[in-house]
Amino acid sequence: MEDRLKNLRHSMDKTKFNQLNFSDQLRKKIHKRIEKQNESKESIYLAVLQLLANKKTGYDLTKLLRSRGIQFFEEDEGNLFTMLHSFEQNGYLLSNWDENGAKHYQISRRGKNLLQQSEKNEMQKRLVVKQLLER
Amino acid sequence: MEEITAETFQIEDKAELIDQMMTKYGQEILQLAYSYVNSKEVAEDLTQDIFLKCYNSLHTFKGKSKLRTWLWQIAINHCKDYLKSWYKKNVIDPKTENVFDKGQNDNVEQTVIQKDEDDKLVMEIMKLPVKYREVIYLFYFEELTIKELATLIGNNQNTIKTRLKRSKELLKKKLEDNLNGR
Repeated sequence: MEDRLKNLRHSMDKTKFNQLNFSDQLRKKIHKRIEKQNESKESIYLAVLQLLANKKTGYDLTKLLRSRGIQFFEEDEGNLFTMLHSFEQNGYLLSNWDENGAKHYQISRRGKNLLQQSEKNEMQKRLVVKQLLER
Repeated sequence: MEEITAETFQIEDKAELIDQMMTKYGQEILQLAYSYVNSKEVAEDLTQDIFLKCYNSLHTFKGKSKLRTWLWQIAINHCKDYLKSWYKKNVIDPKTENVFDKGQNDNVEQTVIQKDEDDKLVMEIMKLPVKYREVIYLFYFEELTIKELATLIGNNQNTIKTRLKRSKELLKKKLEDNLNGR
């Protein structure tokens, strides 16, 4: 038994695995999925900035995003707040607390510039998103 | 197997890193997935998911383990999640249904002619319950150590040893039953 199992590598390569091949096609599919996912992330980031043209709380923002059909943060609102926090850290958003203890966010001048840049052309959208995420 | 080192990990372009990882580990991840799901199509789908997951969690990789071990952990968890999922339990994929006996479908003669010994062994392994199959696969096919198995599967080493022993007993019994024509 032990010997036969020691030989397993050989027998499996011969029988089961000869039909398996990590093909270029598969590789391309993976790259495509990564790309597609990133694209949708990009548009979400930009949508958030657009929606924050007026002062809003995070909760209001989730509702508005939902009405735009963006489900990215559904059941994962924490992520939205992490994102808002990093945008704020990077100076693209301003925030303040109201008397009820709710935090309001609004786009800053810097954020507006960034948004304008991205609206100018599609190619620049990439760069903008990169900027948004970098510290 | 040579490791992709922390140095290469510094590459800024995540997509490029993933590409390198696919070159290096794509085939073994595909085979690993296959050993869990026993279907070429599903294994390919899961492999896609695994690398996508890996891409999205790259920032959580702390360099505590080797990149390869980390990828394998993602892969194993993902395969097990799939096996447990509602989808797997409730949707029967016509392609996977007959996968054990693919040879028989392809060629009627093969059902008549005695199967090669190696074939039989592999077939019986693929029929084992997942927890026994995975230890056999990782230990004998991937030639990992008990310690590595323990890390990957998340059990202690004694549990792994016991499971290996049990798997071999099960296999032996199955093969004997086969010989006796049952």
